[in-house]
Amino acid sequence: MFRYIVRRLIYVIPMLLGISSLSFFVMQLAPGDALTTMALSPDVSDEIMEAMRARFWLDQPPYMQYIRWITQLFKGDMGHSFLWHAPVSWVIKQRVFNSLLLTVVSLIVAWVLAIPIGIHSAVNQYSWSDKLLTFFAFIGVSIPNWFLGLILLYLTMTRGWGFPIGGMTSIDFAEFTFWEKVVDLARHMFLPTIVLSTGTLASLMRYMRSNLLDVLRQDYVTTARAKGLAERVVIYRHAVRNAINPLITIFGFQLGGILGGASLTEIVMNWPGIGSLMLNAVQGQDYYLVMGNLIIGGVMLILGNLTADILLAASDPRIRYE
Amino acid sequence: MARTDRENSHTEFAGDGGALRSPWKMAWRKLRRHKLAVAGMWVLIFLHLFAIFADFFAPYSELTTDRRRTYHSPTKIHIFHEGKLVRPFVYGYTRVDTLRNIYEEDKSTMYPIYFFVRGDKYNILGIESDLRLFGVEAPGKIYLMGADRYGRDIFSRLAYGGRRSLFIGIIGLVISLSIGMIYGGVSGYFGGWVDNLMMRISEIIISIPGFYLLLALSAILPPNIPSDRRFMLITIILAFIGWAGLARVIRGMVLSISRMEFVAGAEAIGASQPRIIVRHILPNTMSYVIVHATLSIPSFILSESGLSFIGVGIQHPLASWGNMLSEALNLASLTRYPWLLIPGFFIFVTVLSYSFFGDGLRDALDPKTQT
Amino acid sequence: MKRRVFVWTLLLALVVSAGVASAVELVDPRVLDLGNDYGGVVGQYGGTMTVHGGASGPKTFNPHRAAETSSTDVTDRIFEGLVTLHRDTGLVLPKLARDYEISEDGTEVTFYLRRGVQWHDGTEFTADDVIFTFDVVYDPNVGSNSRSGLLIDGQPMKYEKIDKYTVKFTLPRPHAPIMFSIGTPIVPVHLLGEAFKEGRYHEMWGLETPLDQIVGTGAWRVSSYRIDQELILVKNDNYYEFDEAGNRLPYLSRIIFRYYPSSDTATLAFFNGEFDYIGIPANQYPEYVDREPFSRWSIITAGPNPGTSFIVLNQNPDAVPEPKLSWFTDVKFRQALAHAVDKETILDMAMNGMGYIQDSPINMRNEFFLKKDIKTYPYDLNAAAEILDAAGYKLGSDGVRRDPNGNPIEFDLITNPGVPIRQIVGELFQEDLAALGIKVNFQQIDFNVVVEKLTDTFDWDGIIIGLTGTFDPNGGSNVWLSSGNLHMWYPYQETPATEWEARIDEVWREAQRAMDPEVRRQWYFEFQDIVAENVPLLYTVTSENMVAVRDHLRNAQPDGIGGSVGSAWNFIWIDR
Repeated sequence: MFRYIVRRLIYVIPMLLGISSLSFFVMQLAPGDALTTMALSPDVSDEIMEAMRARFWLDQPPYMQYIRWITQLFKGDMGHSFLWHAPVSWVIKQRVFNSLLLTVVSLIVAWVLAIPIGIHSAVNQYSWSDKLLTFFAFIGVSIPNWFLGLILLYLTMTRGWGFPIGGMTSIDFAEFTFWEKVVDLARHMFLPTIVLSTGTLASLMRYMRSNLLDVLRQDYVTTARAKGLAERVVIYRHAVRNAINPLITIFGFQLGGILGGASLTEIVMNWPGIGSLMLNAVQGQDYYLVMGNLIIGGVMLILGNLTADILLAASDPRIRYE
Repeated sequence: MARTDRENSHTEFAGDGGALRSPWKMAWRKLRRHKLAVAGMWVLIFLHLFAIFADFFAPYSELTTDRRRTYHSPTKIHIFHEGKLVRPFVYGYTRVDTLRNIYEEDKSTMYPIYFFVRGDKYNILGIESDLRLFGVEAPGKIYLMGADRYGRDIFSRLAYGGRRSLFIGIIGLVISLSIGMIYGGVSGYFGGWVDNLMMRISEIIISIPGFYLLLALSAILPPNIPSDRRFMLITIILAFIGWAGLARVIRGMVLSISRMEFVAGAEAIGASQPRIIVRHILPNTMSYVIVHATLSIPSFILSESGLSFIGVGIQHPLASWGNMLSEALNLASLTRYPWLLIPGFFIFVTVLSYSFFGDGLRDALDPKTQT
Repeated sequence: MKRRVFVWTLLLALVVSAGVASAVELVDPRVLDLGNDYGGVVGQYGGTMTVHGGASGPKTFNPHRAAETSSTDVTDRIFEGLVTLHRDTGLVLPKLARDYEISEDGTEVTFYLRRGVQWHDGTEFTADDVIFTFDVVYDPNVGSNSRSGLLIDGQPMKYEKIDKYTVKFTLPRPHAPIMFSIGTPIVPVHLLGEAFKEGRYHEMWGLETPLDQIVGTGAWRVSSYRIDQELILVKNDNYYEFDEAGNRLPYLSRIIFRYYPSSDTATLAFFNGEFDYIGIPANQYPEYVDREPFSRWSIITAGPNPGTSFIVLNQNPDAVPEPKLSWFTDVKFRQALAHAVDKETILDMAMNGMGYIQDSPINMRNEFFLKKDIKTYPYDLNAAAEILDAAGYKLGSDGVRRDPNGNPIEFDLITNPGVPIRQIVGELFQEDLAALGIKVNFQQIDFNVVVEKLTDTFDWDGIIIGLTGTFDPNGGSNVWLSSGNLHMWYPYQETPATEWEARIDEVWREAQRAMDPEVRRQWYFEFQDIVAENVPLLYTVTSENMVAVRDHLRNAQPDGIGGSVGSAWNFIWIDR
């Protein structure tokens, strides 16, 4: 097991090289660079443009820029953000917590609701409640997040639901007591959490439902029932456990994605997270900020998958890693 | 999920070998019982026909503008005039509020609706025509679903936009399926270090969030290219993002299939490797692929609308459901011109139909389901 | 409640008297005549104003690194220049300089600095800071935005410290517009001098700097910034401006900028009561106007925005192939096309009619220099067709218009996506020219590509783009001088390619030398006539500058001379 983990972790290095070089060269292919738009400002002369390009190494060939960045990375420096005039690690640090908070809470909400709903749907297959839930699940999967977000904001404003529109905290947040802060955050997070968890919730409950249905059809369940075990015991003690196992892989994947952010949702809901940062960075060709973000995301993804594998091994004794 | 699918293909393979009843016929019978799936299928068929024959169904071309009819509201269709039942007609409209773009019926002018009329010219499959399903005589205008900022008919644009939005999914899917199947097939068949290397590369693609990759790639589209080529390039980019996940699943399936006897048999009679992959192994992944296909078309459609939302998708004045919807996603449209949201409804219905259909298909192709 | 107000005023009286006590050392407080200058009355102290700051917040607090308005909107509150512009008339007013003197021949400007002005950390502001600031600005490695405006024929001014409170600038030649660019933000030598010497100036005062180290002389200090969410400014208790009743400004205790990446979300948040002051995008105007009657806020309109939007045709002989070059360089062709720009409809579609048709390159707010009776090109396709016919561009029986050599007229028109007005201009223009038998291939392409084409590769036919306007006409130097880098239709000319461009160069330089505003105005009038006759840029429309302000805020008007947020916030107060 230990050797397996070490081997998986060694994979990280070529992966990160791959992610960063792919993203860097794709962005390089696009015309211009982070400073191009400045050329249209009447105040910026060609001389100044050249000085700034030289300062940021933008006058060097792309592979030199990349090599320089990689060597810096191994020294623990993720480079400099053109758009923010600041170190990449610092810029990311400003947003990481916000994204983490929103995505983790949305994930928890989605999981906590999806599992029982999925079980209910499977156990009462083809009942009216199952049909209704299935229908809503399909709607949840079919509606784009940002669209849902905008509609919720609009309804909040016109119907006077009293939720704040956009932002993460109130103005006087710093002066609040701890509990006031919690309440304030919760109020601000309510709408974004709904938007972000809808899709996950819908697809998770579909998975849970079909997995459980599969398990319930298997022989050992029939055997257990035949032995006269109470239906409740059969379902909750035996079937559900086995039905959840495949979901652990999905969990690992989601764990890896929690820092990727949901850019369009963040923009519409005005949530100051990594997603909207990335959107600007990609569009503004802020190479190192994008690469820094992707590197962190890549590490998270690998760790997430690893966690899922370990969890899977812990819950399913048949699985062994060498 | 992956596990159950893998089991599907095994059983299907066994069914193939047995060649008793065609598994497709059985699947079709099961599918027909799945009411939502059938409904989804019909909706999809209808929408695709609507898009393909847009020239016929739409009263106007997608580019016909009318700058005096900015944000014209949907025209009401009447059948009573002065208390008498007459041929369906619309009234002329006048713009009574230029700030808010409010239009009112002008009861003194009447434009009867005619069927099979001559309208804007078009060219379909090399045939020039101007025959359109319905229309009214100029200067009257019929806006079944209102007009956009340029006074273009939303209904017509929906039909033309469907060509891009619906087929971006299908074409993109074909591309990403071919890449994914070949890549996954090769990787799974050879195994060993080839497999290892190829899977690491696909992991790199997977671990870059698709949307950002999409965004970065859309920035390298060459400028000054004709819009149809731009459409193809966007489709290719979308496909480029989608193939890796599929490749991994195919590879897993191929890995287990290639351990089976019939492959060894094929090798023994000296079949070449590509032949074995293409002729023997890949077909056995078909049922998974079909289900995956129907379920992933929506993601292409949604990605296109996401791209349009930030302004880098299909370009105006050409219509796509995504860029039509992006026009609607602002406060003014939500409050004043709600008909601009109709493309969103079309996207929604399409995605929903594909989900229903795909879900039914999955059940139908799964030999374990009874009823 | 009454008691509290009493305590409040008592406290304030104490604060004020403390201020007056230290003002004994302050030799030159600046007293604002609210009644005359700002249309306001003496206000009350305290309170917070929350402002919509735009899509994103500042990217740096270093005023000579700040290139984007999101940064300068904030740094302009923290830092100040020697002079400032009057917010309505645009006339030069003393600020950190108490007075200034221009020599007879117009080549020497002497500034007498305000004495006793303190930096936020308590250090006194002196001539050394001014000298240091100009060292910084003129250093190309710093890349200050103020640099190009302070070069005269490419030459820097000479500047020297006469004594602790006097600085003299020597110009290579008289240059009337210099007073409009000399008000660059002054930065403290005692905090930044070392870093500048070590070549690290551009690294200073980025966002990661602890906020109490950001030190200016302005009425406001940054107290907290959560990136792209909100920024809080608190008032500088030692500020040197007073109202006519002797109260130290500013009145407000705090100003908060909130940032919303989507303007729709911002508007919804404003309707939801989350802030006090927001710029209204013209396309959302109906939303505001319909809600105003039953809301506790009002819409204030403040005249045309200084930005421009126009179509430009490429006349660069090194980049444009024949026959396109002969069309684009033909003044008749450009005049005809100018008639085909449907400005009324653009105004209607892009701005709900809340805007102005633009004919002149001069900032519409600068009424002194704006010439009203220049040649205009109203939308008239018949007139366009007549001009084209007369110039030999005939319409064929196949509906295609051909030039005198029989080439069908067809060209590309590009712009960047995401700016609705440019899209509207393009689509309408394409359609109108199609009606004239001219085929235009209109496309929206990545902004970076547009900029590269404009400034580097020059391979384009037509572009729809805009420029932000400066108040003084001379801000357009690099657009209108034939050698300018933004002389878009043919930049970097060694010698002027046409007679009219040569004449603009002459007129422009004469206007720079003319120290008498009336004389200067005549030169700019001639300039506007030349541009109107030769239409290198096909101007379209500009929007109305509108804000919505909560009714309890007093004196909160946007500036008459333009800008997204009002500049003089020191005398805004809250009516309780």
